[in-house]
Amino acid sequence: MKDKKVLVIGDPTQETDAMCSLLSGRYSGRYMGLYTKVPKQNGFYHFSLADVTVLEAEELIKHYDHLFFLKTKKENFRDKQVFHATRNFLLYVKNWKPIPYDVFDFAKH
Amino acid sequence: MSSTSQNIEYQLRVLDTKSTSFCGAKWYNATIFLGAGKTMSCHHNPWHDVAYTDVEKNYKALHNTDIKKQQRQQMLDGIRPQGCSYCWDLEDVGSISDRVYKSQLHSERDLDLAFKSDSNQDFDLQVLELHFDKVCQMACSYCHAGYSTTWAQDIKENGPYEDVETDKRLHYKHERRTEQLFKPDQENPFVEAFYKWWDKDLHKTLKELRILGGEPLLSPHIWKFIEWFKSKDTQCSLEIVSNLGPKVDIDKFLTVMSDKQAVIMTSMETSGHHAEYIRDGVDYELWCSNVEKCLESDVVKHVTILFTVNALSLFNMTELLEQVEVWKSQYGKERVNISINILRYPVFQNVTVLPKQQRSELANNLETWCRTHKSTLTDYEYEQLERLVNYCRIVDEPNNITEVRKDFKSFFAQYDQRRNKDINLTFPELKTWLNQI
Repeated sequence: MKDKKVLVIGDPTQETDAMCSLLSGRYSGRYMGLYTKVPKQNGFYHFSLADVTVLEAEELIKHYDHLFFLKTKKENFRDKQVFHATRNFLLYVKNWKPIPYDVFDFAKH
Repeated sequence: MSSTSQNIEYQLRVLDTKSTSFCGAKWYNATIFLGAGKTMSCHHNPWHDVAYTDVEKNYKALHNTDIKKQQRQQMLDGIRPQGCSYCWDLEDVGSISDRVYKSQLHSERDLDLAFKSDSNQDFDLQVLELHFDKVCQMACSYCHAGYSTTWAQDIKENGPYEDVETDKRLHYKHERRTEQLFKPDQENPFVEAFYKWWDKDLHKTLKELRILGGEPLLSPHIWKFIEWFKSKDTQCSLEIVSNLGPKVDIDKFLTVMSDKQAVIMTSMETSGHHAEYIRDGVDYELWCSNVEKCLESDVVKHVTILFTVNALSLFNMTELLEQVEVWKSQYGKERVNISINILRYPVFQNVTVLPKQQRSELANNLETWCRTHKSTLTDYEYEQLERLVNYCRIVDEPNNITEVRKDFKSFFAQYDQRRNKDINLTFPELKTWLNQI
């Protein structure tokens, strides 16, 4: 995934940033960090649905080549609605497959 | 005692003794979007996500979400939940709000139960508005891609509407594909949860079940749903909110319902070319003919015409009211009625966008019409129209009125181009004002 734009969607904590960095290393990509605009360069970006609205996320993912959803605990979400929105967003991506995606369970890695 | 006095008495005695922000709808009323996995307490509220994982464990979570439970607690504490500002705005200008009307749908005993309950408790619904999906053949100016596949198609083909700065909810920017989580032929846990809840409790507790869309009579779910509803033993009243527009097979609906009755609710807020301009896709004559088919059928208990009053609907509104009057005299006063809702969003289509003088003149015309035709209206209808007259006169322009008016002009210029319409031809009374913006 070196020449791709990859987005990691997780919870609004430092763990998402850490996992984005870990995934970029694993897939030989460049770590880009938290970003909520349209990406210009290849690399691994991340955000959570506390950083952008679902509608913004719907638009933004069109500009990526691959998505990683981080499987995280409900407790990590201070705002439970962000958790629910993230789960439903995953459901949308899973059912409609607007871009390729993986669910990454870091507890197993 | 007049109906208004009765409502004030009810508000003071039943609601405000609990708390001045208490509303029964937060416990017993819901709008649920099964295709989007979202809910809200009533149609004036913003929606929020329902967790499908919660719903798989407890079907009542379709309505009893964390957010609603927080808002119930706010109401018990006398705090006004922010999402309910439609009612607070009306109450602040001295009008009776929907908090009163919606609470009156529930018994005082049930309201007491809600008030004395733990806010974490799950409640069974009594009034439910249910959306299966957003399939719709029309694309009304104030609607958006979250409710209409035709609107989504407009955005997909022509891109987002530009230079509409006050469109904070992004009505006109997105296809809103995330508001249809499932493909039509897919299993949907929210639909499953609804059917489970119905079988266990809702068939006993629901008084009103209202099916909305999109256009529900074009939904892939509808015919299966009607067969299923017919097979159940329930006292629940079924209401279908249909636009009665092109492609809607009203004859099939009336035949399929056979021995069961339903209420038809249909949106229209003005007449003729004005209606066809605002409600892109509608054929006004066909709509009238479909309303008449419903009124001629024993299947339809009554037809309610839902007025979503917006800036462009005020000019010919009395013509539609006169058409309703004709139907009332032809089919019976109780067989057709009206419900007035004031459009708030998008803010540039709210009536306050119009010049205050014009707004005031339109309010005067409407008031004169109401007084002349009072005997043909029910108390509730008259009260709602009176409320609209007051709203048009009293409500202040938003602080950013210049920006709002620019958006009105900018939006309708793009709408005209995409939909092959002409606002200046349809509303010549606005031409001078539009040129000055």
